[in-house]
Amino acid sequence: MGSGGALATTPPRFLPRERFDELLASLGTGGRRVVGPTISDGAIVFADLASAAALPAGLTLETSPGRARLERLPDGPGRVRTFQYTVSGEGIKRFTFPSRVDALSMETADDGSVRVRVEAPAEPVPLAIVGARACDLAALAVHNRVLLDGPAVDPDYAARRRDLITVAVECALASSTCFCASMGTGPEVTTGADLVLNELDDGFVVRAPTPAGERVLAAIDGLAPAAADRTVVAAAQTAAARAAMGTSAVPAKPRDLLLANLDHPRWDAVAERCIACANCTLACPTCFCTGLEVQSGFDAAASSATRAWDSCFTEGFAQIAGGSFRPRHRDRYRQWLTHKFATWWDQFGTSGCIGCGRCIAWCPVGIDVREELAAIAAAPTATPSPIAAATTGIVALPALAPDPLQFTPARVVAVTPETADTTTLRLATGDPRILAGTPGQFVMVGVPAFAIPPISISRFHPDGIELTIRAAGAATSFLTRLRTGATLGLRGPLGRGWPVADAQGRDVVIVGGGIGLAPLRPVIDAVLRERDRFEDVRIYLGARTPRDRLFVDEIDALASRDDVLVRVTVDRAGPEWLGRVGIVTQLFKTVRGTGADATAFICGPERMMSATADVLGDLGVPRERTWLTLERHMECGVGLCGHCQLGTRFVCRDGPVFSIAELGEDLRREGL
Amino acid sequence: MSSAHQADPGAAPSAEAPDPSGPSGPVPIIDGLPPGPRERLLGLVTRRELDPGATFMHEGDVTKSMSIIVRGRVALRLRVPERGAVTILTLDPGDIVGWSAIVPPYRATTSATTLEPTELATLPADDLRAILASDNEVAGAFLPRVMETIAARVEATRDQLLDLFRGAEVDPW
Amino acid sequence: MDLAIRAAATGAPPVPAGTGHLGTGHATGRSTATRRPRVGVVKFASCDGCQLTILDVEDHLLEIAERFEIVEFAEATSRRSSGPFDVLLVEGSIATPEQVVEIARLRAEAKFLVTIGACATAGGIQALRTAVEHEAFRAAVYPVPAYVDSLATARPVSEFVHVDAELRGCPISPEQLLELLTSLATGRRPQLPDQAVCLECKRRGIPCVVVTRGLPCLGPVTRSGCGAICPAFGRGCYGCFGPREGANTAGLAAAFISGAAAGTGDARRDPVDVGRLFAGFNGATAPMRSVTDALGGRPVQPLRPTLASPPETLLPGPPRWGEAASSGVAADIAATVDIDRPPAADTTEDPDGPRR
Repeated sequence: MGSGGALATTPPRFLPRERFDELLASLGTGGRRVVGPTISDGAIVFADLASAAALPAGLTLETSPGRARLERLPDGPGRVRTFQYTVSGEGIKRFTFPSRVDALSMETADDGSVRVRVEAPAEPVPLAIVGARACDLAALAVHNRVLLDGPAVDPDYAARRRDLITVAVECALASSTCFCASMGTGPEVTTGADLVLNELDDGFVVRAPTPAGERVLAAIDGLAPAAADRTVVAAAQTAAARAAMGTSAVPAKPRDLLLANLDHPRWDAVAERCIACANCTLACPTCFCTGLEVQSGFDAAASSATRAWDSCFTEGFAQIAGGSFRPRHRDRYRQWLTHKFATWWDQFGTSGCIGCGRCIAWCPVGIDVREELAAIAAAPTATPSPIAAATTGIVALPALAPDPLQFTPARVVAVTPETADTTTLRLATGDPRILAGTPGQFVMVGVPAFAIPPISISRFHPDGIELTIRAAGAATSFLTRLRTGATLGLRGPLGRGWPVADAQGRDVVIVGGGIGLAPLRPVIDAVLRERDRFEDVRIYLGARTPRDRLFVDEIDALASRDDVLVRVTVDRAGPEWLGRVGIVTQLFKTVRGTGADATAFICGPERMMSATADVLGDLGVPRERTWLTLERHMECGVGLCGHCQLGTRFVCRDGPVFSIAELGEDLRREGL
Repeated sequence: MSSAHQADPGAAPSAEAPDPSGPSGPVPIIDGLPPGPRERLLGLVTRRELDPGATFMHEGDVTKSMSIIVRGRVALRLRVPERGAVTILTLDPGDIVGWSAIVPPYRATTSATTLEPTELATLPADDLRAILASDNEVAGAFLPRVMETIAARVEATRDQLLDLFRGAEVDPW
Repeated sequence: MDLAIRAAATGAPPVPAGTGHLGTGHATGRSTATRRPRVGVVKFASCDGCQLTILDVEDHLLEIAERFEIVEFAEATSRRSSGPFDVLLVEGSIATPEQVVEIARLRAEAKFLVTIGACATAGGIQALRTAVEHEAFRAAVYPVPAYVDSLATARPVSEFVHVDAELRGCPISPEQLLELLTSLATGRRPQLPDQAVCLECKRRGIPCVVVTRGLPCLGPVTRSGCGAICPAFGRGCYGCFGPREGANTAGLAAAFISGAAAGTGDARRDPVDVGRLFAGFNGATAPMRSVTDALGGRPVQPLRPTLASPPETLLPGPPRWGEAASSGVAADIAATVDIDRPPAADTTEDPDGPRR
């Protein structure tokens, strides 16, 4: 496995050019598939490498913003070279992270039971990649962090990485779009390769940093050690490439620079040029965002889902039923650049950019990220946004249950319509993980042929859970029409829930608006179960009209208790309603006393939550103890698909519950 | 609906009622004014006690008085022919009903109906307008407080207008 | 008159929320439909290629015929029906007064009305004609123009009636058609993502023709759905699926002109040439038209007086792609079109040909 290590301990060998096919043959022993750079459609593309003759001989790649052209090498002895270029269009990502992969299969059996299964990744054929560059390997290391080191592991990626041999080539030149030296990822190959080649006119200096690489070389008869003058030329080539790039292509500390300049006018300027075509994200070797495409036949009994490359530049990426969180190209470009250079550090402890420059060359309108960063650095905004200190890489989270991608079956045992568009399903399940969930956590709900929505758990029972679902789209509408006896697949429990235990010994304030009462109900349950552990308990609820109130009987019963204060308001009502009408903050705006000893749990539309947090803050409730829960577009629920990001956070994995103190300015920033 | 009629259990008496003061009991807002304006306005105040269900202001009619709620709850309603009466706001002790008494054309913009036994401190519209026109000290003390009330109501109305709790239009798909 | 027709045309039966499917049953996994949904396919001003694509679904056609009852589809069956329809697929733009009336009638007969193809969704290539050109054509082509009654310009169906869904393309994609019918059958939302063609090129591994060859390509502003066919064969997208959401056509045009996206280095492209790029099958849509209006390039062919007599259309053979015809009308047309002429000095090697 290409995990690499320090520089080789065995001396470098020399492989004459005419013997290159022996290297390929050695790599291919045991049926290993060998891929490398070939020419197709005017570009360098990694494909099956049958022989050295398929390599791009005599060619180089001229790149500049918006341009990547193959040119012939000048006449001379160097014309025989086959690796005299830098980065191909897509690098090697396609082999470890294919653009489409089977993800799920969903079936309805004859008895009506539903099974949702994660597709076991097809055992990939062992693979050897010839011609990876230092930046490609750096990108692979970044993907390891993202896809293997997090709370959830991507099974397909893990399978493909298991038996992979990488044969790297150190760049002997640099394109004008290359800046790996500035990102600390190249041009020298220091880690991640089993074999490292330096191409000279008459052959290759080869070194084997790993035992796997050593084994490949051992199978080639009579490889002589490389003479000193050859290794000197090899090193000089790479040094020349480094010198050509310089090391100051990007400003120092891009993370702090970008996070302090989220309102910089440059974002508007680049948005005029940016066509949000997503090419940069798809050419980028570290981008990892994916979406699920659902397929089924006309008979919905069987369906499947495919995981496909997605991009934060599409409108649907940050869209939920209520609208899109990043409606403008400006928002999306800012998201991409700040994720790549800034928030990646908070999420994964590395930069997301490895300096390959593909985004520059492959942008159809020629936007250059180096130029954009420089423009911001040259004239930073006078009033910088406050920056939270960088977290040190991956947040330590409670380990998700083994295989958080697996679905478990659940059966509908009761259906309770709450309002015209909201229904509560009571589900029976024996899955101990779900039963051990905590208030504020959610599950992904799968039924054949439909998209898979995240739904908050609205109550826990010893033998199951309740989900209160508002029909906001096709999938949720379908769920609200299920009948008793229907089955579905659940995945979870996911997310970080409400810190109810933290509120013990304190006053508790619960503010719910509309469907927002659903994720709060388990908090109310937990508090009432141990009522004497909490001080004053106040519940403030808002709804659209009296008919849109959730859990009416339960709330009425709560209101008649004398150890809980309940106040309800609606936005408007007919004359038969004798209760309060007005926005929910009016219920507690004039409360006397201080909230200094209170913990608040808030859920509802974001604007309502912000307004509530403001009023509670005025009443003295500390920001670290004002909690809310956010809704974002989620497809995986475990921090792998990238859709739910908000600044440094994955809402599914680091939330959905956050404190106002944690969120800081991000809650109010438009289009973040 | 029991939650509508619920009294306020668990809330200390001082939690929401203003401090008692003034000759015949507290009058919110006016009690907070400087002594001179306070005396002169109190001189105009008449107290009214109303049963639940009493409509004391009718949308479109000339506003006879501005009231300050001392106790109880008042619903502001608009007439929407296709829907009947729609309650768009309820007011609690300390709120003003009938700011239209001092804003031309001096006609009520909503109807006001009590939902509970309610005590109002009412200021006759003519007298109030007269004193505000002639007595700068009273005007300077009282009008900003009225503005605050109306401004808060405008802010709240905007949020109600956003209809945040409305579900998205569900596609037939 | 148009407004009156539109107002009257909202006669489609109200659809209860969340019942987008046609009752073929789902919760138990068994079809509980008591009758098959009635499907109709009708045509207005169009070339008929979208209907042909429906027939092109090959094996799936049998499955469709089993699941749905095709009651009107003149191209495929002699069975006729004037309604009612559960699903009505409408091809073609509205170009005559009779069609204005007919589409309103059909809207009232249809539970779901789906427009298919660039003509129905955007007016098609014929929407590029102006009122003046319209008059000129009528006068030049028809011996008695008074007998020909057509609207000044061809308009998309959505300008006249409410449309429940649309399938874009010229022609539509068979996969998207199947996805739409599947969604109707199962009740899920059809997955017709509003994304740039670039995503499909990149997923398929097709090298960008703009970046590698300097070819003008509308992929970045065009909605995906075709599977990136044209770039797969080494030519730029010409936008037949229409503009995607937020299409920054002005930005793309600017990049083509300045050479940043033409890849010609310092050479600038003629703004009129660039404007002409956007005057295609969806040229009447706002994002495309705004570019052509700003830069010029509307495909105006001067009408020649000799059209009154048979034109000289005898060519030595069929026109070849990328090569200028040598004489006649074809040569005139070819001389104004340079969209896919490859760059002069093409040094690329391409031994394997197109990737797929």
